[in-house]
Amino acid sequence: MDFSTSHGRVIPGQPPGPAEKVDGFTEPKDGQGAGPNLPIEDISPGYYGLPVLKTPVWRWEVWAYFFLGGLAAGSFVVASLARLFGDVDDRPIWRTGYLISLLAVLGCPPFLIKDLGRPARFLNMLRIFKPQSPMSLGVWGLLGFSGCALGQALISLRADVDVVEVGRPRRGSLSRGVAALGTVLGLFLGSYTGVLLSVTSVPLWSRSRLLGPTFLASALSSGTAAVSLGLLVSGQTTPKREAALDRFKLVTLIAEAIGLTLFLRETGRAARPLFSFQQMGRSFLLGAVGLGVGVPIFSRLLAGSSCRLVSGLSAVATLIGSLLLRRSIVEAGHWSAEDAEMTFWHTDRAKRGAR
Amino acid sequence: MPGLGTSFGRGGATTFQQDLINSDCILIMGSNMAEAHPIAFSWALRAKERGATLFHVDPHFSRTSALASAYLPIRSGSDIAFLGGLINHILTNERYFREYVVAYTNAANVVSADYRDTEDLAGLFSGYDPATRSYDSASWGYERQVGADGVALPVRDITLEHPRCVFQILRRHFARYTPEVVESICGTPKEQFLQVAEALAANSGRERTSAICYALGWTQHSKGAQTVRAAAILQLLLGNIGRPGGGILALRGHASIQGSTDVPTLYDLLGGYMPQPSALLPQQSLADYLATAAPHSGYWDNLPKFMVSFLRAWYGDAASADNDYCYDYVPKTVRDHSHLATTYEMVDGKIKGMLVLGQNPAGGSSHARLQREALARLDWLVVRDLYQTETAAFWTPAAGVDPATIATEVFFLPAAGPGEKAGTFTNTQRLLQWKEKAVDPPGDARSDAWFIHNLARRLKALYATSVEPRDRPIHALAWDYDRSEAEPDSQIADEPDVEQVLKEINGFTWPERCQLADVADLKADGSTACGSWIYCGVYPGEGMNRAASRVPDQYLSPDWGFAWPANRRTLYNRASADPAGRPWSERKKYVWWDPLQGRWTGLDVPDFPIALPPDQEGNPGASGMAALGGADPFIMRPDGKGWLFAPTGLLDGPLPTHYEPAESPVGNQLYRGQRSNPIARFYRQRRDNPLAGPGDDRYPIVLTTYRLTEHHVSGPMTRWLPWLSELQPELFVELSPELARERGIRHRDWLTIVSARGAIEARAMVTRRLRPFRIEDRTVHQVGLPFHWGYQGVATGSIANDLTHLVLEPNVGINEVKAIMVDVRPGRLRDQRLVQPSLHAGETTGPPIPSGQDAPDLNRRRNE
Amino acid sequence: MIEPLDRLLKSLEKAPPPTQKPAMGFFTDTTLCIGCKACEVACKEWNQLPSEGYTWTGNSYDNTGALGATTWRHVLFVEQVPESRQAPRWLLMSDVCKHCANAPCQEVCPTGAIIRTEFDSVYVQQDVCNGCGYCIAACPFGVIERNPLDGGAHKCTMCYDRLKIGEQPACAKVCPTQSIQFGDLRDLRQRARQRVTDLQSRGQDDAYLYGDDETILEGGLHAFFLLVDRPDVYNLPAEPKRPVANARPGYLASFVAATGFLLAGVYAFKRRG
Ligand SMILES: Nc1nc2c(c(=O)[nH]1)N[C@H]1C(S)=C(S)[C@@H](COP(=O)(O)OP(=O)(O)OC[C@H]3O[C@@H](n4cnc5c(=O)[nH]c(N)nc54)[C@H](O)[C@@H]3O)O[C@H]1N2
Ligand SMILES: Nc1nc2c(c(=O)[nH]1)N[C@H]1C(S)=C(S)[C@@H](COP(=O)(O)OP(=O)(O)OC[C@H]3O[C@@H](n4cnc5c(=O)[nH]c(N)nc54)[C@H](O)[C@@H]3O)O[C@H]1N2
Ligand code: SF4
Ligand code: SF4
Ligand code: SF4
Ligand code: SF4
Ligand code: SF4
Ligand SMILES: [Mo]
Repeated sequence: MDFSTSHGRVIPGQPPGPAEKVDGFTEPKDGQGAGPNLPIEDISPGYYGLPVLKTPVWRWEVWAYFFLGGLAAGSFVVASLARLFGDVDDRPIWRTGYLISLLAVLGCPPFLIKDLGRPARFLNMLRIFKPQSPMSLGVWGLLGFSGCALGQALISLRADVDVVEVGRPRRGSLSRGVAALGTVLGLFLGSYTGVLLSVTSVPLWSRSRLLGPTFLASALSSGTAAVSLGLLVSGQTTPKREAALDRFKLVTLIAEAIGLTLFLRETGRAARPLFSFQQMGRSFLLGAVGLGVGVPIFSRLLAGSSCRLVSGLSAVATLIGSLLLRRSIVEAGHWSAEDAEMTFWHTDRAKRGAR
Repeated sequence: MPGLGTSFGRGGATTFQQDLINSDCILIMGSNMAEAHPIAFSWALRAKERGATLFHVDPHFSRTSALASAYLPIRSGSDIAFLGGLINHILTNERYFREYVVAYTNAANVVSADYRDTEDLAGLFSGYDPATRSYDSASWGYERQVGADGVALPVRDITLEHPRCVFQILRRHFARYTPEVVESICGTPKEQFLQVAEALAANSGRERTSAICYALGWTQHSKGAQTVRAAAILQLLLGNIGRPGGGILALRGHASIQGSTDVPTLYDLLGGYMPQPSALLPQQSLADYLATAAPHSGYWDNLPKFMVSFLRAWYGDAASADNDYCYDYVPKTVRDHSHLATTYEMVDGKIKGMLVLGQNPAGGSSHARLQREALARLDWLVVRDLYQTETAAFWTPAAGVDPATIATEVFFLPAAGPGEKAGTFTNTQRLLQWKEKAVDPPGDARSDAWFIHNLARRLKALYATSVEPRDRPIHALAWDYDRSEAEPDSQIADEPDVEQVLKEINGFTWPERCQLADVADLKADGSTACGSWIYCGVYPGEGMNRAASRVPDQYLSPDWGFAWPANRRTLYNRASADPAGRPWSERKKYVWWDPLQGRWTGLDVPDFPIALPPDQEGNPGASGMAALGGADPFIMRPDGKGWLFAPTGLLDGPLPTHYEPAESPVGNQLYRGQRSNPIARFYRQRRDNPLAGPGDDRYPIVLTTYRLTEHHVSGPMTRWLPWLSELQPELFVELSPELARERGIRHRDWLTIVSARGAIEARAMVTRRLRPFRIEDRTVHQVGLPFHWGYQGVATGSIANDLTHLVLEPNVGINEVKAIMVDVRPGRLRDQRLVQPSLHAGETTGPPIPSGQDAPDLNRRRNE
Repeated sequence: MIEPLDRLLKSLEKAPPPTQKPAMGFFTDTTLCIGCKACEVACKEWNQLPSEGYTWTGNSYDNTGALGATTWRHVLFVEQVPESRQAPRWLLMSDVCKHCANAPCQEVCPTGAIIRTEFDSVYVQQDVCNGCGYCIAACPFGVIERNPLDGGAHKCTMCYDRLKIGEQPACAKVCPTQSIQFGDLRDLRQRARQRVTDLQSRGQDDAYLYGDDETILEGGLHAFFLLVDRPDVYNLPAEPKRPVANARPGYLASFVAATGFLLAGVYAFKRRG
C-alpha cells in the first residue's frame, strides 16, 4: 500500500496539488481554546492524541517475576557451571547457587498468578503447548526448570553428606544430567521474557530483537551477584571461588552493556520513555544502567575484586539494577503504547529502519 | 401543514422517501436529515451514489452536510430570502418548465385589481388591519368574469402576459431577491447560491427532476408556513410536483406525528382534516357546518359523506338524520386552544388540571420556565409516561425548586412503551404500518389505549344514570372496543382491541359493519361510519389489515403497509404526464393515460379520477369533481391547479415574503418598515414573554436549536438509557472559534447563554463547523444548541428551552425556536451573578440562581 | 468397572469441529457513514455490554473514544474544516476488530482461548481465557482489552452467535447506509475494489482500501476499510508488523548469546589463576 497519495488532502473539484495546510486534531495541550479542528503549530498525526494501542496490563507482578525468573535462571546456570566445570572446592558455589535458584523459582508462581485477570484459571496455561506463543513456551520452560531447580537443590543437599564422593564421576551423573538440562532451560528462562516482550506491538519492546539476550545477560549477572553475595554472607568466599564468579560476572555485565546499547540503537526514538525523567528515565538510567551495569563494572575496574565490601556492594547494585531493568522496560512499554505518535512512526514502513 | 395544503391540496409530503433515488438533484434545507431522519436520508444518499447532487443548506455544518455534495451556510431565519432568490433566478433566466406551469398551476390566473403586493405597500399585503394585526384576504382573490351561464369564472391568460396574472405578480414580487441580496440577508456566498440555483434549474424539466426535503429549520419560525410555500412555488415553477424524483418531502417528527394529524389529537381538526366546528362561526347546525367548512369544488365537495360517516362512527346508534347525527355533541372551539394558549391559561389560573400523555412540556416546549410555572399553578396534574419526566418531576429539588412551595397534586401513571402494545404508525410519507405487540408492559404500566378505553368506560358508567342534558354526549358516545376474546400470552384482561379501532377509522357500513374498501363508498345518509375518511381502504375487509402487509419490492412496495389516500405513494401524480396524458419523458414515466383502456394507469395508483380523459374540459362553475378537467392534477384544490399564488388558505399573505424572525440581529433589508411577520402571534402584551428588541446589543448572537442523532426530543426516552447517554452525555453549544476568541471562551469549558427569558449553562464546543456571517456588512455570530437535556435521567443538563420565547407562526401556531437572540459568556451559570428574569412583575420565579451582592437583574438591565 | 472408564474416555473425546464455512468479513466504507452510531449501540445491545460512563470529551461528537473491552464498535469523528471554511470535511468512520488473517492476539494467546471460527473470524472463548493480557499487548490496533470486572479479554465476536443461526452481525444489520457491509470476504474485496475505482473515477482521488491486501500483517484484515485520508487520521497504524515475526530472531539472538555465556562460564571456571 502506498499512502503517499493520500498524504496531501485532495480537495474535491480541485486538481490535487500542493495540499492545503492540514489542520491537526489533538488534545489542546494547554487547554487554550483549541477546538476539534483548530490548527496547532506543531501538527501531530493521529486522533485527538488518543493512543492507538491499548496500554499493556502487565504491572509490577510481571517485572518482579521477570527479575525472579532471571535470578533463578542465572544462579542455576552459575551453579551448574561450577558443578560441571569447577572443582571440589567450588562446592559452596553450586550449593548456594542451587538454593538461591530454588528460592527464587518458588517465588515466581505467586506473581505469575497474581498478574492474571482470572487467577483461578492459571492452569489453563497448561491446557496446550503452543510454541508460537512465547508465554506458552515460557510457562512450560518455567515448569521444566522448576523441576530441575528443585531436583538439583535436593541432590545438592544430599550431596552435603557424602562430600568425598564428589570427585567420583559415576555417582554424580544424575546430578550432572539435571544440571545440564537445567542450564539449557535456565538459559531459556533468562531470555524468553525479553523475547515475550518483543513479540508484541508495543514500539519500545518490539523494534529490537535484542531484548532476549540483554535480559539473559542481566539474568546471569544478577544470578552471579546473588551467589557471590550468598558466599560472602555465609563466609564461604575465597579468592579462588570469587575469581571465577567475578570473571563470569564481568563478562555478563559487559554483554549486558553491549546488549543495552544495541537495543537502544535498534529501538531508536521509541526508547524515549527510558530517557525521560517524567517517565522511566530515573529507573532506567540511574537504576538499570547506573546501578546494574555502571557501578559493578567501574568498581571492578577501579577497586579490583579484592575488597569484600566493594564486591558485596557491587553485587547488591547488580541485583537492584537487574530488578530496575525489568521494571523500567516493562513500565516504559506502557508509556510507549500510549504514545500514538510513536506508534505511527513505528508502523510507517518508510521509517521502519529509522531510529 | 398549510404550506403544502394551500399549494397542492393536502397537508402531507407529496412524495415518499424511497422515491428520492430517482432524483437528479436534492435540496435538503431546514433539516438535519442524516441525524434526525437517518433512514430517509439513506435514500438521498443512494440518489447521490447514482449521480444526483445533494445540497445541504443549514446554519451549522452537521452530519448531513458531511455527506452532501455541497454544504451552504445560511443564517437562521432567512430561508425565504434564499428560496425567493431561487425563484427569482428561475424566473429571470427563464428556467421554469413553461408547459407544466401554464397547464398545472394558477400562473395564468389574473388576480383582483384590488390586490396590492408587499412591493407596493412596503412589506404588507393589501387587507392588513393594524388594530387586530390580521389580514382580510378579500383583495387576494382571482379576477372573475361572469360567463355565459351566469357563473363568475376566474380570468386566465395562458400567455402569462397579463400584468395582473399570477406569473407577472410573482416576477415583480421576487424581483429584488437577487444573488447579492441573498448573500447580504442569508450570509450565503453568492457563488454557492448560484451553484444551487443552476443545479436545480439544470435538473428539472421533462427529463430530470429535483426534490426538496425540509423539516423544522423551516417550520419552527414565525413564518414557517410561508417558507414551505416558497418551496412549493419553486417546485411548481420547475415542474417537480407529482413526478418521480420530484416533490417536497416534509420530514415529520415523532414516529406517528403524521398519524396524529390524520386522526387528530389537535384541537382544531376532526378526522381527515375536517375542521373542528367553531362556536364563533356560523356552524351551529350540521347543514351550516357543511356549507362553510370546505370549498365546494374539487374533492372536498364530498364533505357531507365524510362528516356524516364520522358522526356515525362517534355516536353510533344515537346518531340519526333527525338529530343532525348528534352534530350538537361535537365540542366547538371558542378560542385558541393550542398548547401555548393553554399554557397561558394555566399561568393565569384559568385551567385547574391537566392530563399529560406522552409529552414533556417542562423541557420540550418553548419558554420552558414558563411551562413549569404553569404546572405549578395547577391543582392537579396527571402524567402518563415511560419515565418520570421533567414534567412529572417539575416540583422536585432536581428542578431547582422547593417542593414545599408547590401546591399541585401530581399523579404519575406508568405507560407502556412502543414494543408493549399493538397499533399503527403513520410515517412521514403517509404510510400506515401496523406493529405487533412484543411483550406485556412491566408492572402496572398500560397502553394509552387502555387508559383512554377504561377512562371512557368508567365515565360512561359514572354518568349512566344522569338525566342532565349536558351529559348526553357521554351517553351517546359509541364505545365498543372491548376484546371479544382474551389476548393470547397476556396478563392484561381489559386491554381494548385496537384492531377494532382501526376498522372503525377505515369505515364500515351501518349497521351491518361490513368493512369499506374505498372512500367512494362513503355515504351522507348515515349508512356508513368512518373515523377518518383518508384512511378508508386500510382495512377493506374482515381480516384484511393492509397496514400489516409486508411485501417489499425495490421501489414502490404497494403491498408494504397502506399509504393514504387510497394507497397512493406519490401525490398529484397525474402531473407526471403532460396535459395530453403522455409521460413527460421516458425517463420520468410514472402515471399516464391509457387510451385503449380509457383509464389512467402507471406504476402508482393514479391520484386522479381514474377514467377522466386528459382532454376533458373542466367546468369551473360546477361543484365537486365536475369542476375539474382532465388536465387538473391537484384534485384537492377547488380549481385543480397548483397554487403559485394562494388567494386563500393562509393568514399571512398569498405569497411568501422575507421577514426577520421575531428576535433578530438586523433589520429587514427588503422592507425597512416591516421587520418581522406582522401577524405572528407575539403575546406582546405579556410581561412573562420578554423579547430582545431590534438591535438589542445585550443579545447580539443568533442561536438556533436542533437535534442530535443520539437523543430524542426532550430526552426522557434517551437520557435514562446508559447506551445512548454515554454517546452524548452533556449539553454543549457549538460556536465558531472566531466568536470563542472574541468572548474568551475556551473549547470544552463551561459557558453561560443568556436570553431575555433566562440563562442556562453548557459546555463549549468550539468548532469551525459554525462560522460568523457577514450580514449587511457586519459580522453576525450564530451558535447552535442541541435541546435534549433536562434535570431527569442519567445524563442531565440545562434545558435549552429556558431560553426560547413564545412567538407563534400564525397559521399553525408553531413556536419560533430556530432563531432567537442570546449572549454567551465564559464560565458557569452559578458564577455569573445573574438572576433569572422574573416571569411576573415584582417576583422572581423559576429556579433561584445564586447571585452575588450586586448582581445585575436582567429585568432591570432590560429597562436601561 | 467398564462404565466409569467409558465415561472417562468419553469426556476426553473432543467434539468434532464445526464444518468450515467461507471466510466472512466486514467492508466498512467510510464514505457512506453518517456517524449515527447505531452500530455502536446495536453491538452493545446485542452483546449486553455496559456503558462506560458519562464524560463529555469535546473530541467532536466522539464521547466513547476508542474500542475496548465494552465497546466493540466505535465511531470516529474527524473534523477537517479549514479556517477559510473551504471544502469542509467531517470524516466519520466505524471502527471494529480487524479479524486479522494472521491475528497477533490469537497467535500469542498461551491458553488457546482465542481461536479462529469456522467463519475464519477471531473469537475469544470466555470460558478458557485466564486474563494473562498477552493479546492486549500484541494487538496492533488497540482492539482487545481486559475488562477489570471479569478479568477476561474481550472484543468483537463477529457476532458468532448470530452467524451460527444464519443472521448477520448486529452492527451491519442496523447500519442505515450500508457503510458496514458484511459478507463473504472474497465478494467484499471485489466489491470494495470496484468501489474505489468508482469513487476515483468520480474525482475522489484520495479513496483507498486499508487492510484488504497482504501488506498488513502478512495476510490482510478480514475487516477492512475504505478511507479517504492517511490511516493515522483514523488512528490506524499504517503498516503494523506481525509481532510473532520477532520471535525467531529473538530466540536466535538469545541462543547465540547463551552459547557465548556458556563458553565464557567454562572459561571462567576452568582457567582460574
Ligand atoms: N435522533 C433524533 N431524530 C429525531 C428526533 C430526535 O429528537 N432525535 N426528533 C424527531 C422530531 S420530533 C422531529 S420534529 C424531527 C425534526 O427533524 P429536523 O428538523 O431535521 O431536526 P432539527 O435538528 O430540529 O433541525 C433541523 C436543522 O435545521 C437547522 N436550522 C435551524 N434554523 C434554520 C434556519 O433558519 N434555516 C435553515 N435552513 N435551517 C435551520 C438546524 O441547524 C438543523 O440542522 O426529527 C425527528 N427525528
Ligand atoms: N428548542 C426547541 N424546542 C423544541 C423543538 C426544537 O427543535 N427546539 N422541537 C419541538 C418538536 S418538533 C417537538 S415534536 C417537541 C417534542 O416535545 P415533547 O413531545 O414534549 O417531547 P418528547 O421528549 O418527545 O416527549 C414525549 C414523551 O412521551 C413519552 N412516551 C413515549 N412513548 C410513549 C407512549 O407510548 N405513551 C406515553 N404515555 N408516553 C410515551 C416519552 O417518554 C416522553 O417523555 O419539542 C419541541 N420543542
Ligand atoms: S428511529 Fe425509527 S423513525 Fe427514526 S430513523 Fe430510525 S427507523 Fe426511522
Ligand atoms: S485486530 Fe487485534 S484483536 Fe482483532 S483480530 Fe487483530 S489482533 Fe486480534
Ligand atoms: S488474556 Fe485471555 S485471550 Fe488474551 S492472550 Fe491471555 S488467555 Fe488469551
Ligand atoms: S460483529 Fe457483533 S460483536 Fe462485532 S462489532 Fe458487530 S455487533 Fe459487535
Ligand atoms: S451504523 Fe453505519 S452509518 Fe451509522 S455510524 Fe455505524 S457505520 Fe456509520
Ligand atoms: Mo417534532
